[in-house]
Amino acid sequence: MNSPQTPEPSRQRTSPATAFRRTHQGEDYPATLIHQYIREHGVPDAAGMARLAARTRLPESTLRSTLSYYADYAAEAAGNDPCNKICHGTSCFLSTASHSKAPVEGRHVSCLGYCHQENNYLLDNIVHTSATETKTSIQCLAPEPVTTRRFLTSKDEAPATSSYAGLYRALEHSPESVLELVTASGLRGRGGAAFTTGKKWQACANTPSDLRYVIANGNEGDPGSYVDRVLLERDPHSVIEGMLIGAHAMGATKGIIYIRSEYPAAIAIMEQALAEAREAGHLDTDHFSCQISVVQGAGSFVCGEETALINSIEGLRGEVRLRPPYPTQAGLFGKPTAVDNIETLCNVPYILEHGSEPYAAMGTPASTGTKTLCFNHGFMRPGMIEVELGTPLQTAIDAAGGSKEPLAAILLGGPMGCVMTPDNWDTPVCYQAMHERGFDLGHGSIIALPESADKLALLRHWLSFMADESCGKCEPCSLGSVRSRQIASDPFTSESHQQLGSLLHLIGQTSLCAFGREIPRAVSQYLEIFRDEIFAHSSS
Amino acid sequence: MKEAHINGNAITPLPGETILEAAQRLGITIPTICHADGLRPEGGCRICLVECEGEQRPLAACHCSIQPGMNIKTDTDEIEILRAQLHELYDHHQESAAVHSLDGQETHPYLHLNLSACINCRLCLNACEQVQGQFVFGMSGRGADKYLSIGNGDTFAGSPCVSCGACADICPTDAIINRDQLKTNEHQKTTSSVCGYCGVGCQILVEVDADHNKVLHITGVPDAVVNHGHLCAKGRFSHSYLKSGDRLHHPLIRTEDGSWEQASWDEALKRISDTFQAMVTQHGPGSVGAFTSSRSTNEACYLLQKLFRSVLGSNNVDCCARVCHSSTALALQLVTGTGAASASYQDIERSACIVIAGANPTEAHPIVGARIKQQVLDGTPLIVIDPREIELAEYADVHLQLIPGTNVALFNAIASILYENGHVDEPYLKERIENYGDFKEFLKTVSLPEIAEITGVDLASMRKAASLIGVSGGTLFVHGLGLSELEQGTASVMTLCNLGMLTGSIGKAGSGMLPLRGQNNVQGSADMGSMPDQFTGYQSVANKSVREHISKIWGSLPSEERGLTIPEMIDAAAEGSIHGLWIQGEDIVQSDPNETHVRAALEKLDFLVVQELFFSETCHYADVILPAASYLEQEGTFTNGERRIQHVKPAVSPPGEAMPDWLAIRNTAVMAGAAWNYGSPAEVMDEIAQVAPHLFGGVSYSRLEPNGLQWPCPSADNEGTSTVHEAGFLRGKGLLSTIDYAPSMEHGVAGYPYLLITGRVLHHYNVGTMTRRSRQSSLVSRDLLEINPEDARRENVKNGDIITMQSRWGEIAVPVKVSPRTAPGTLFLSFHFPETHTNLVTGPAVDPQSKCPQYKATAVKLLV
Repeated sequence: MNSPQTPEPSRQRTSPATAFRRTHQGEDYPATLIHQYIREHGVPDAAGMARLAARTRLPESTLRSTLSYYADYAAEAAGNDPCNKICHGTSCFLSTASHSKAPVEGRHVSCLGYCHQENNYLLDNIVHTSATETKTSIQCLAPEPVTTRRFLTSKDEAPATSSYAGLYRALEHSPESVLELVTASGLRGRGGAAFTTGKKWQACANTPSDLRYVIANGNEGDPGSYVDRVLLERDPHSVIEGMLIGAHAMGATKGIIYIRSEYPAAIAIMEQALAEAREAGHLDTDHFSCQISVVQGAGSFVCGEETALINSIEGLRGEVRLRPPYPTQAGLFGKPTAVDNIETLCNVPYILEHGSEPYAAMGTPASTGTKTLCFNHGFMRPGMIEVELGTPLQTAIDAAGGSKEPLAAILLGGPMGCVMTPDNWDTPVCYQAMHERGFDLGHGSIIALPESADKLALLRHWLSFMADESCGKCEPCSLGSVRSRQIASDPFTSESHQQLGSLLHLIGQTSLCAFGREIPRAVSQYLEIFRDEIFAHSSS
Repeated sequence: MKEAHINGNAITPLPGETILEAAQRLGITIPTICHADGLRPEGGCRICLVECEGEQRPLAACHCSIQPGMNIKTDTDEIEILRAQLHELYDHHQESAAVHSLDGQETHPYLHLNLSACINCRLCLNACEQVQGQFVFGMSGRGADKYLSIGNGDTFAGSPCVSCGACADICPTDAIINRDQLKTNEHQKTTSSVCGYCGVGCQILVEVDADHNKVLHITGVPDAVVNHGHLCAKGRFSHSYLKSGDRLHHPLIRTEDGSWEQASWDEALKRISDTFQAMVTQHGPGSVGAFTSSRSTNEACYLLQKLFRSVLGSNNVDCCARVCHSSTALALQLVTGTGAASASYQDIERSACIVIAGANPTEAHPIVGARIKQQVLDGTPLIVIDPREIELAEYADVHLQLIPGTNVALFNAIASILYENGHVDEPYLKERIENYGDFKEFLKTVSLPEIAEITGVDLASMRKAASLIGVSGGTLFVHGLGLSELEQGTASVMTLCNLGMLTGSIGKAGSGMLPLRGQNNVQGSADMGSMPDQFTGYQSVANKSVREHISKIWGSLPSEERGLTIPEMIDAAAEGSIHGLWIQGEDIVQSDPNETHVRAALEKLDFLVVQELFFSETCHYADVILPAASYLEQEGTFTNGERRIQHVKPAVSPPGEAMPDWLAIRNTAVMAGAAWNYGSPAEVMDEIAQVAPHLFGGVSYSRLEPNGLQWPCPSADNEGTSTVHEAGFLRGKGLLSTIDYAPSMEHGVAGYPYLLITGRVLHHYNVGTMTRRSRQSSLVSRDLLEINPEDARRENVKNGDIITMQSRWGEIAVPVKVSPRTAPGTLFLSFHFPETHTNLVTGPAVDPQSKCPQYKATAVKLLV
């Protein structure tokens, strides 16, 4: 019953502000123009706003609301250095290291994506940590490495220029047969929603248009997850190659790699990689041309949701849009757009090089291929482990060396994921199997939750995250998250427990997007499991 | 399975229909906060949640479409609990809301802000964007801390607000209030009627304080096809002139010593009737004439021309369409067979490509402008052809910024490119159009480089425009006075029609010719026979069978010879061959070109009757002044620019002894001995239907609700006509015109380097009689001469400087506004304020066929 519906033509316009600039699409995306302006001139005053409005072709009222939405711009307006950020992600939050406070002034951000180490912070956009061992462990338990294949052997070296063999294989085939191949591989989006990539691309290709976009979603925001950051930094050419293959398959001529501002190194490396690829002639072949550029985020978790991400590129608030129309029908600037997660895209060159069959041979029938899991500093060997889908979770946990402390549970898949107590660790890493047991793989991050952790503090942390990151598009999520945080900030009683439960039910049932729907589900699961401990913490 | 069910009721979903819309069709109410019909779903409040069998979660009815097989329940206990919880969240949030910094500040002439009551539903923002297209509001901050922001700061000043009032109309709380609506009275009554400003013809609801005979506020009629509930600042807010202290309350007669004296209606009408009859006896019927008013009703226009024709025997009747769209009407009549729009406003939403030529709809026809803007925002290509960078030019795919008065050359060039590219509708041309062979020959003489030189428009832009028109499969041509008010006015419109015919656009839904008529009833006044050569319904005064038919109804008829047009009557008055004039609701001293000449002519008259709301500039020359009723004070009909005849109803009674125009004219005729016994305007309309049955035969007051009738409406069972020429041109075949560009007498005048364009601005209306007497004056309080920054630098003038502008016909001193909207070498000046005397500068150039003056190009120089 949840079938995509074709909207009436009159409803195709997704955003009036988009339409405002209908005929004025320059080379630079509005988000980039805004970012550049602020880097040069700071947050604009009234006169600057008028100049920036003219430059971006956005109404001034829209521009103002955009600037006030993003954490980076709001912080800069308040006088904070945008290049100094202190990680306040769940993994760092759970840190037990002795000096748990960063030695710099800076604002808290929800995660910097270095969860394998503790107490991370950015100073002048360079990451620092309290950990002494900063090397990321990377393992592959799968029969064949897919996403980790290009840096398993050459870790800590400069990103290798890919041969782009997958791309050239793709260009030998018609777009249709590439679509078939990707569909046949069974590849599903690794960002959490697990939508079949081939189907998404097919839908985008099927929408008649003079212009299509392919977007790499590098707004990896789930505290606990850092696979995308590592891929962007250490295998950027696979991202580009995956996008180019998609562009060929869909007939897209423009590509965007959207990277969150919390990943400054990834942004720089990706820019460099694009220059290399251009230099090597991969971006403009004789057969087709796709212009790819990097657009950087400005501090918003919800921008990982594809329609919010599209709004963000357009220079709008990172609020989700109503669907339908789906981005594949009317996405960026109203044009058909495929938004794919970074890890997903890194699977694509492999599939093209080796064919869909060897890929589909890995994993389970419903969940083919491999998934790269991220273990946080709570494990003996924190780092990334690529596993064949269907591998029991326990196997991966064992490969991570088990936990440093006795664990009450693991937090799987970030704030929108799930809580798994040890008795469930035999569950296979597989979309279907997880789903059947009431769990969610999400983006595959695994945070150790020690028995000793303050469960009430984590509850408050979780609800604060939700209230801070709720975009404001729909009221149950925006008003409800603030109300939830308020309830949890008071001493926790059975009345507040009940209130919170009913509020989370409301938010989960009525919110517009996955953020508002899934966090309450995960928090409710957590509340259920740790209710007694939370009461105990509150009363002690 | 084709059906879905809502609360057990079966319904067959329509394509794209939402659950909410389907429920509405079933008469089932689903509560909403952030939703309004006509706006795209916002989906924010989630109050409209409904249960759908098989779904894990409730669906938001406002944006989820209904699918066959769905089983929806709108009021289960679970749903009601969720809704109650959502309301609790709202309440809790409102309790803790801080007082907004704007509250209590009066930063807008019409809107009162109480933003502490704002619940962030964004209805105002969405209405502003999706109805008016202005982008005034923003939602600032994030999550629960979000708040409504205005412009780039916190005030309306500096925001693009055009005071349309749509935000206040839609606000569900008291956050944004129309100040007019703060005034209430125990005894209020509501009258639905038609706006009396421009030719769009918006339907209005007038709320009246019945105790004090006072208009409280005006809103749009929600389902009116013309405006869908929307209004502009003038229509919604500018009504305080009604109670202005200087309204004329009694008839005035000029005494021997030149002063005016209050008189009774009988005295005044007897004086009029006696004087005109004596003049006809002494100098013949050609010595008297009448200007009917395009502000007045069809019935008043009809009766005034009938009075002069049938009672006094003179064909000297004309209306102010002469000085605006006479060229348009004539051109359309010549090439299509009827002097009116072939298309309707609803074609805007059905269009595949829009050309706007010589019109500035967002300022002069705001509701049509807003509709066009929305259509363009939705992706329809737009070509703007205008010497000025009008607001819509910002939204255009291409703007052809031509030198004023060079339209004919430009249209010929586009025709040539269309032909060259094979973008012509050959079957249509073969079947419906004549003169195609000659036209093709003519195109061989068209030199594109030469035209680029003449018009100042580069070839690439012309080609782009031609290509957009060419591939559209039918284009809507929206045009205005920028074509009509030129020496080549008729030629401009005829050559624009060439493009309509070449592309097969005329006579098809979604395309065709859509001239924007200036005044509320300028279409109607011409329709009614305020034309010196045509009786009611454009029937020739010389046609034998027409005369036979009309004489049966009227009794006596004037001669077969055409009478004089307005410019000709003014000339004749100056020469002394016209002795008496009746000017109905028109301030020709301020509005007609060459003010010095107009004043001299009026001075020379023996007798002048003026029917007016206020003592206008023209009144200074009057012998009898009749106090008129405004459009909110009388009954009748107005015909809008898409030929739609709509019912005007009195909301309040006129002040003092002021009388509706039609009644004053009827009484004059009776005084002159005519047996006119119309008891109401409806009876006048019944006669109009008889006189011109081919256009109005089916029109009667009983058929005018809810949306009037679009003529031609020849019989009582005819629904009216949205698209004219659908079954073939009324003329028989459409005519392609082979006309060359010819420079006017104002082009290339040595020593006068600029071309002046005159026109309207958004906040005022023509001579400003009504808008100057309202808070619109707080928005714009004087006429400003717009000059390009480059020219301003050369002339060394800056904003606000007073500069003397001289033409060969006169000179005035005006304050300057430096604006990139005006191209180098062109100037723009409005004519809303009498002290500006804009028309001292405009000259005698007229279109030789239509006699329409050339307001849109006058050679001037600036003296610093």
